[in-house]
Amino acid sequence: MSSVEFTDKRLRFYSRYKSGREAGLIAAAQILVNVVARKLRGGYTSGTFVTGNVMASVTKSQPYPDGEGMSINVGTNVRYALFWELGHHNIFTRKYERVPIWQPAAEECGPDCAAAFTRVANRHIEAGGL
Amino acid sequence: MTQQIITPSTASTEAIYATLRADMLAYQRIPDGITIQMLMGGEARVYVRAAPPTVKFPYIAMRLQRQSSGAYNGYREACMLEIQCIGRPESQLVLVSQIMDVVDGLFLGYRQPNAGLMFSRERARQTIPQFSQPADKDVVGEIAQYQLILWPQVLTDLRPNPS
Repeated sequence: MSSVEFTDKRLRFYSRYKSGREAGLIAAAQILVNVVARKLRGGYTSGTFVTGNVMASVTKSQPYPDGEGMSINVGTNVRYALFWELGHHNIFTRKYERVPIWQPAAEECGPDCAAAFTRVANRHIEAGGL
Repeated sequence: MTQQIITPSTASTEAIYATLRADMLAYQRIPDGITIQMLMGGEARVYVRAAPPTVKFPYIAMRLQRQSSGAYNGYREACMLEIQCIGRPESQLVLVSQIMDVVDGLFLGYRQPNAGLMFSRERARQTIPQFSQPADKDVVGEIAQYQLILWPQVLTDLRPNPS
């Protein structure tokens, strides 16, 4: 007598899916971190006064749940990076100064981030033998 | 050589800016008829990218980030129109918010079908936090980003057919 065995792999899939999603987000965020850091390498102005402070501070958060799924943040805790990104009236140069770095970087590497997410998340799910 | 731009037009990037600026200044909020210029004390301080160094506050600076997608053979652009309203001193924060409310009235649901096609879909708006040195901490501002869809003449009527 032959028999057919059914195995419910839903729980295993869900567990791999969750860890894959988090690993994918971390991989995607790292691409943005790299691009932002590369764009900050020359500093904001002439390059004469570059300390590397903002570049070294570019970091990413841990993946966290939000209303629509999971998110991850890429940012810095150096406050003046925000001034440069949004623009500011500089009291020393007496000029309006603005050098957007973060948003152009995000637009530039969006497809690469998406590809990295898919690649890493898929690898995690497939590694579970599902 | 300076060339006068007749608006509305989407025949060039500067024409797009000029059209957006003209529409902003012409817009009257219903029902009170308030315009941006009225809130700015009668002056039309709307600039592209950044204001001149000796500007009076409040003022508006706008910036377009344009991106074509291959899905429409490059004819259609999905743009981010960024409007910054900047005031100084801090007491102008309310005035800045009022100006941005009028700008919202125009650009939320904006349609300009008279030269090419421009329309907006959605927006994000936020108040700039208080800055510290080296930024002037008395400067206040609001930033709104509108998703603007463009079928500009410069990429459609004025461009040879790719086929």
